[in-house]
Amino acid sequence: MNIRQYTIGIAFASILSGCDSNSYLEDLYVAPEAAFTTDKTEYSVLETVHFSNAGEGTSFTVWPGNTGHCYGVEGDTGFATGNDGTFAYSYDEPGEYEAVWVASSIDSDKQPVFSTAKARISVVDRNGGLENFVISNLYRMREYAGTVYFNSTGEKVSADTLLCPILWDAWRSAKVNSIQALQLIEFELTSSTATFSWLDKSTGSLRPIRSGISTSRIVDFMDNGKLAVQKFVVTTSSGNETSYYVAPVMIPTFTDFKVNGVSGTIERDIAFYNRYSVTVKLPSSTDLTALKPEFTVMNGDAALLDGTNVKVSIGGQPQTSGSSTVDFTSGQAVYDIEYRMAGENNLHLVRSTEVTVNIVH
Amino acid sequence: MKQYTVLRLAAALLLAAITSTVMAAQSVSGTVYDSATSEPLPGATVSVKGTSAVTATDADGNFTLRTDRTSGTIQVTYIGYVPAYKDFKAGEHVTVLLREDNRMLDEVVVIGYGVQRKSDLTGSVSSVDPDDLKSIPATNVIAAMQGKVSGVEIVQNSGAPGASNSIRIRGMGTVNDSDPLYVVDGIMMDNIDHIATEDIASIEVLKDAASAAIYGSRAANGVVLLTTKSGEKSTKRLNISANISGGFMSVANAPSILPASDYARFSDYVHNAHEYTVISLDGQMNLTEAAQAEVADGSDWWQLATRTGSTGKASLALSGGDKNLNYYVSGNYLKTNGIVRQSGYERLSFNGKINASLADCLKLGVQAGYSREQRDVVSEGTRGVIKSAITYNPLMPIYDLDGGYTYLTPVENLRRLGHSRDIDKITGQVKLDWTIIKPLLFSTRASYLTERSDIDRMERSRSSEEVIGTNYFDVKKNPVTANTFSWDNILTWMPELHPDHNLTIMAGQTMEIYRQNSLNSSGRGYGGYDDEFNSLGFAAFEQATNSATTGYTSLGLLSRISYNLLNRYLVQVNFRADASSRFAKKNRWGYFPSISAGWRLDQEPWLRDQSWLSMLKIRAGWGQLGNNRIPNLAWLSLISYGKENYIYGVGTPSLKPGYALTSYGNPDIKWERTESTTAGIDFNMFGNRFTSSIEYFVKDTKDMLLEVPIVYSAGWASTPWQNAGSVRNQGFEIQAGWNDRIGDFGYGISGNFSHVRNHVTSLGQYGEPILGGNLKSPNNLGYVTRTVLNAPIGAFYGYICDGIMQESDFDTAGKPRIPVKQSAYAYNPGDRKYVDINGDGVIDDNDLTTIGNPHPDFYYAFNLNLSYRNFDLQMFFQGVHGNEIFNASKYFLYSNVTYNGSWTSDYDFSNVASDYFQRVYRPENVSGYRAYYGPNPGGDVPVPSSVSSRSSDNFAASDWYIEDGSYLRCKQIQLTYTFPASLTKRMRMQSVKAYASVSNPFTITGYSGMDPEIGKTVGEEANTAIGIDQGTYPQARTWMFGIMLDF
Amino acid sequence: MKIIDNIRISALAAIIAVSASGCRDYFEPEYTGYIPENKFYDNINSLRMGLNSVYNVVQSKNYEFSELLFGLGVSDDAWAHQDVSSGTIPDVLNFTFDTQNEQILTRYRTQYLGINKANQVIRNAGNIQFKNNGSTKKELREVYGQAKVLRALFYFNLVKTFGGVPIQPEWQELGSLIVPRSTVEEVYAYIEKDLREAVLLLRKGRYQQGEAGQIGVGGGLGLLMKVLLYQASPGTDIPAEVKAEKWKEAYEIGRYFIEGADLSVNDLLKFDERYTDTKWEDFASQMFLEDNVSKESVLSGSDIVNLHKLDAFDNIFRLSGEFSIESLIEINHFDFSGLSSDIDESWGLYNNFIHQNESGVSLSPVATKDLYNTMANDPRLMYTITGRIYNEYFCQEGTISLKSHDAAEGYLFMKTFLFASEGSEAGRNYRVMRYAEALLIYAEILLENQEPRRAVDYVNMVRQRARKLIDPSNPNAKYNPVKDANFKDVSYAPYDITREAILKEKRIEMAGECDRWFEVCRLGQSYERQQFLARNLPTEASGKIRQRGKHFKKGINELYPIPYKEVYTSNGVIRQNFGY
Repeated sequence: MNIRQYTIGIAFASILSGCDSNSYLEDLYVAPEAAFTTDKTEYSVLETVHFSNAGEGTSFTVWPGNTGHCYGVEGDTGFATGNDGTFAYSYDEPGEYEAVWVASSIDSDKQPVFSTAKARISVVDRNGGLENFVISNLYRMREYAGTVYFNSTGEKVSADTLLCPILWDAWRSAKVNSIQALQLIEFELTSSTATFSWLDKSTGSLRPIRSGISTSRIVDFMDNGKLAVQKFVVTTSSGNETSYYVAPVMIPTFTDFKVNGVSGTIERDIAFYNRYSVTVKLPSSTDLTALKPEFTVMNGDAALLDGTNVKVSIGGQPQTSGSSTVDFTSGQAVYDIEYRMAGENNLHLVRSTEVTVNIVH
Repeated sequence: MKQYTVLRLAAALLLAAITSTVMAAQSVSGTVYDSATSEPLPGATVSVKGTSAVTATDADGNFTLRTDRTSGTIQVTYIGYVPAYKDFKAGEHVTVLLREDNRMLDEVVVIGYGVQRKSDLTGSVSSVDPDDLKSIPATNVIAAMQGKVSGVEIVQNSGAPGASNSIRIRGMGTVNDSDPLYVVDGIMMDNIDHIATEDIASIEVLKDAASAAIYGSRAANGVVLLTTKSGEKSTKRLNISANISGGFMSVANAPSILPASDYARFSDYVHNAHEYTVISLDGQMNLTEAAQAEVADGSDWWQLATRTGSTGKASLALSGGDKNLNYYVSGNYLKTNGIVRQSGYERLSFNGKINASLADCLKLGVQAGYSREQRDVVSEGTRGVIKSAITYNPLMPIYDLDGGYTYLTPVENLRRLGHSRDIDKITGQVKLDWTIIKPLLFSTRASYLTERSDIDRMERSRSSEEVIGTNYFDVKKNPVTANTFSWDNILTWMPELHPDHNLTIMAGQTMEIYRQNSLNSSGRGYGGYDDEFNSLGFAAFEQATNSATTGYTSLGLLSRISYNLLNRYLVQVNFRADASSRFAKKNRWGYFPSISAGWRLDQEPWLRDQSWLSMLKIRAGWGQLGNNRIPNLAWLSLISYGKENYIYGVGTPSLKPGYALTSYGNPDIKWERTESTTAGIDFNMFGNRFTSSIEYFVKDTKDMLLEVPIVYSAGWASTPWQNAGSVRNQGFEIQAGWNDRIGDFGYGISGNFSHVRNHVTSLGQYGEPILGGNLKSPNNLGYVTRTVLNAPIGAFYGYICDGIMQESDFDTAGKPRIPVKQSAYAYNPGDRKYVDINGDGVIDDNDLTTIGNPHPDFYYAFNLNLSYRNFDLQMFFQGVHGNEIFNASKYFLYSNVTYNGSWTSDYDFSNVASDYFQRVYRPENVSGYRAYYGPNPGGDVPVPSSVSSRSSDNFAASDWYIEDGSYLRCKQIQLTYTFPASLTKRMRMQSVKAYASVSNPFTITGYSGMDPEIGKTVGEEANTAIGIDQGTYPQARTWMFGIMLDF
Repeated sequence: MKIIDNIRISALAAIIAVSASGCRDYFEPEYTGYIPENKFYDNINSLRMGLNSVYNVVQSKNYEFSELLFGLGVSDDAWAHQDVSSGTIPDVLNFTFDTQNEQILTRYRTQYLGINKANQVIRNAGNIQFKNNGSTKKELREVYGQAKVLRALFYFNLVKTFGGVPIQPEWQELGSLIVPRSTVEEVYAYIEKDLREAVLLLRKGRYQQGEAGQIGVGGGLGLLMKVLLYQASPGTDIPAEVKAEKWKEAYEIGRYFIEGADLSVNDLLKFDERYTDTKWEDFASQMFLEDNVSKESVLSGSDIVNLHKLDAFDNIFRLSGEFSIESLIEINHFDFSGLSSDIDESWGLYNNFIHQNESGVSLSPVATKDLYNTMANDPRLMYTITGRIYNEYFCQEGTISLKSHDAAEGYLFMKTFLFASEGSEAGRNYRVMRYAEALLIYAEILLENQEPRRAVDYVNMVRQRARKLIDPSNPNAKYNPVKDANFKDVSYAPYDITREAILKEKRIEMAGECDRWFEVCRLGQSYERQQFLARNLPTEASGKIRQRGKHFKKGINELYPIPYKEVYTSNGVIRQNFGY
């Protein structure tokens, strides 16, 4: 009798002790083994680094290694990855960083087990883009009450060349408010950590300038008396340089227009920089069919004109002052003045103006 | 590898029993009588133990046996009798008395749509003896069944009378609804609270796919078959049996909280200043007079909320009839007043069953039943009466200064939240059995069940009637009527082939039509102190009403072939095809096969005559089941009113309704499919005095319904269900019993032991975790369970505690050197430390992890009954081991939070546990009032703080709340006295029994709460939120006295 | 014996057969309280009820708050208490958000909820029965047109916040919900198609009295002009040659809507060019057009040009200014709380402007000093920003004092102010677009089409309306400190000066109307304006230092990230924006 009871007793006891209560944690435990990949090893500033898990574990964190996120430094913190084991992060400053990947899991007596892996990530600032470039407060425009300045906004005509149109009124020698004076430049670079400088031909050195700051009013567009293309350089915080060329091109206009010896009054259209009108008062008896107007462009200023870079025409027909005949029977003729400046690697930088000449009695 | 050690042990036991010695021949003679009727027994087999000599008794019961043994024991066996053993000496005449064996092996067991001999069973079917249940004070059958069947884990969600239970047959199969299917006399139901235990004739639990597959699409979580009593086996014209019992219920285990006087000390402790207390000259600290006055008119909320409960049961059953006509009529009444005031349950039910044989081949059965349940519900959980009784400030009086009720005290809570729920059920069934030709039986059965339930709630204002104020009250009504019509036709064919071959083929069709319409309305009214105001007529303001009708239809074609060769080799194959309106046309039909086989080794010639071996059967089964418990219209995209209105016009604009799709269906939705494989050994010895069975099972649920996340750019207003997840339950069950008689003294011990390991094997393509158990205000712990891959369903979720911050955790500047949560307030010693599990140097949501498992490692029960002459003593124990409980009450019991969840109030703290002062942290250089208690650097309770964000961090969900929930509970001790037959015969009665019992006398557990049996949270019953104690209604200790009369 | 057995067996077989046969509709039990889409959308009135649910999205707090946060809060026009607190809203304000930010998710999700509801109306319009008389077909067109305008509005909010986004098909299936992102150009083309078709469908008039709250042709044309303007603007990621084309198309629409020039249906729809695979008859029937409408029919400008005018500036934000002639798109709100019903049609931003909410989970923007100075000497300043004390004008019905929430010299936006006699502020309508904005858009279009003089004329039309505020005949003139001499018209000037004047006028006219951030983004000036903001930050009274503008990453933060959950749930089909 007692043998049987004894065997039943053993069966119970062994079963009772066999199962400890945390067996469910064993199923959840994944021996952590940290391994991770990044899509590249070299990134530019602000470019996103994509970390993704390549190892084992229940949860993963990334310590990018920049300030405040260095693994092992007291008080620093890391970032938890998404539950698909990926994490995106962009570095603000260029430099060499040691990113640490931590894989962890909870073992059956509720203690976290860690495993770490490291990788070097270098961040470089190569983004030398120039977003926009303005020669600001170039000329105080008298047509408006209050101070309204003409700003010459650079237009990209090629990958590295910008054309800044200059109003005729802004061409005069003066200490301020003229293209011949030192200029204040407002610009925006693609990278927020790059610097911008102007090649001062007189000293041959690159002089850094800051956007819209009066202390940076150092740029001189005049090379020994002539408007010339200026070279600017964007230097990124990791040292590589991109150069840009800015060509100040005049918006041409007649400064003198005579018909039969009578000078016309020249006026700019208030709503356009490159539209003028000339009114010439002639006696009503004048024969308008074949007049020979004499005109001078931009005072024939030698600093601007080299005899070849201006073309005047009507409806495509070239006009020469004093010799071409014009039929004014309609009382009006429209001249087209084209001014050209030579840029780097023989780029032609062109500005043209439309002048409407009216003959009145 | 743990399971295999057990199997190896059982096999060793078996071998030792088989090798026995052999003896020489002689002759012995004797006669065999039936001990009950003392008449001779012809045809009994007699053999000498240990030898091959065997003979049978003649017509007068005599026998002579040639054996070479001079002495030994002879064994006499006869079908239906307990085998007897008698020592003999050569030449003596031996008389042997054989006692009838009430546990007949060849008794018939109810299986789906039919019956089968117990010995022929190949699936795992466990029976429960209804007599065991009669005297248990539980209000419903399921609660009474707790611990009676291996592999069936029953947990009472709350001790409130009439409360629901959670039932898990062989583990929790799905995160959705995993309650089993109940089939009462062939009618499929989801709830059997209305059935009285006295009316039940038999209960079978179909646990594995092989036995449950015949119910196909609704059997995934197991099936409980109930048959009610009928007059069939009655021999007399009129049998009357009555069972009257009554008893009282008391609180088993009162909460260990501070009395009002110590609460005053706690209040000073939080303020760290002497306000209620003063230190006298001799260094003793006691209360000031003012404090004592305040303590005097405080209240002991636990006493005010609880009372001595009472319970009474009466049932009367008349049955009788003869060969052609029999009837059974019964009436049952039960009334229980719970140990929490105003909680109660009352049930009145009548049943009638008439069976008549119209012709020798045609039998008609008619059955009708009515039941009315009326339950007075008290609020439970985080805003419940129990929680407020434990944690409410004991210095507060019941009535406030204006004579109104102090808000949120248990007394006010009970008065305000009058809430009753009553359910009427009417069932009717007509059954026709037609024996077309001898082996071919056709039975058709049509049944109709209608259920009308109504929830009636009235929330009264708490302010006193004598005070000016616009006091309003709220009324809620929720009448629901549902009716089910089912009709099944079964054809059973039992061809008489060669006697060695026993074949039964059954085919049939079932159909079911279910319709439910519900109305849900609420309103607010003014005044409303008296019950007469409880009508929507008065509560006419801010009325909101909604009504909906829904339903489903299903059709099933089923078939079963069972074959038995030489009573030794048994095979059973089931196949069922089921269709339901819950699925779109293309997924409408589901196919559910199952196959099981058994081998009766004890019938094998080389074992047949081992006298000690009564039964040895090896069986195995495989099958697939479905679970279609999904919303009725889950596959349709539907528009309903979602308050998406717009207004037109200037001045006072006119409101125009807006409609759009509110619920998105999934046309591809189909059954949750459960596939289970079982292997088992049934092993009885010594004339069935020792019975046992061991079973190993693996149950995989595939296509579990989940709300798989969809992209936001779809713009869907709701997430449809998709079949995506899978869960595996794996384990083994052992059931064993030994009973024997020595003269007038009978004893029996039986028990069961089940181990189930539940874990989620897939959560769909994204493995999206399912959050559960959202503890909102006032204890704001958020989601405390998270079901993830490879973890059990509803595993607890929170931080891992690392003790309390000590001085050493801070640098000289007072900055914490350990990872902490981002906070605007400085940390200092006494705050809680958490483990930075993902190693990112900061404590945040990524450090939440799985911290506890609510599922038990194993559950067990054992039953001890002793009988001596007319006395029967029965003791029943039940227990679980290895489960963990999330004790949310600790949020209040160890902190300075107010009852309503505010940390910043500097009075009205909730009451705390009695061991608070020993467990709260105090630094070495403790100062102020707290110095009185001396330093306590090892304390595990954070320092009280009135900075709400710091305190809620200190008491965030973590494994500080997790406690071991194992317990062993003595469920019941019962003494029954059967009046001697001579006395009852004179009063022309068959039997009279009187019994006295105590339930839940004692419980052995390490759990600090009042009751370790914590099921689903009442009110938000979900599989993903079990084992969370927010102040659960505790189970009572019940003393019952009853008498059972049979005429 | 044998025969009887056979009879019994055959009888039995019959019973089973009968019960199995009737199972086709057996599996469709009836139900109430829900209705499938095809049954709901079978009559004309259900289409209107579907449209109401789309308007309800624009009326919702989620929609309006996200316009406040992303339109004004982040911009260089506003400071807020929330700049210095912590949480999802401050993270958006300071550009320190991560891809799981809840406000960004709400912005993304709310638009798609609206698109889905609009699609329900649009896809079902074709299969409802209706009495084929004039008035019913007109209602059908107008509801169909408004659904298209609202769908265009939701996609417009998405593309200007996130760039290219998925375009969901009108009919969806659970299996194919994941749609890859379209390009910015494709999304704008989809928006433009909806708007051009809507102009053909919408009512050629204004909805007044009992019908107020809907969008007429003025709203459609105003939104179309704004969409064309955004495509042509430098900050939008669209090829340069397409931009030039868009300026011309915008000019064509502007001449029709603002100047009343005629416009053929073909030119409106660009039918020949863009509907190469549809025949006109099919298109006309799908759009429920009257039979007499053909590609060549001409939409006369004279029907449109007088629909909308400039109203008095000191009236359009008053109660009497609700649904004024100047309003192109206006969403109806009303405060029903007084009638103790649980209907909530109130305006969600009740305590975000004047009743300052200092909690970290809300947003109360105040005007920056730069905006205040920009509006110096402008008669509209008094009605737009408080200044240190309430102007007398606002104290006509009793003195009200400024609470001490002067967030670092910031001043309250006043356009949402209502006098007590004008009823509850929670009932104030939400003005989405005004005719004044259409005029200023047209001015920029004219400038880009080499008409600088006429551009300046339209700017001065808006300033002329503002000058009426200080005209002696105006009773409120006495409150206005601005002298007539200091408020001059804009004079003609070349392109860059005129452009600056137009943009400045728009910033002044539209100040506080939740559009500034997207205006700055379309101009490509977001980095420049955020740098300006970062340089001019006041310290909060509590001494906490503001970080606004410091964390803005150029080339990345011009667009917000697609919510993490969306990318994750789409398994990489929906890709993240650059830099996140």
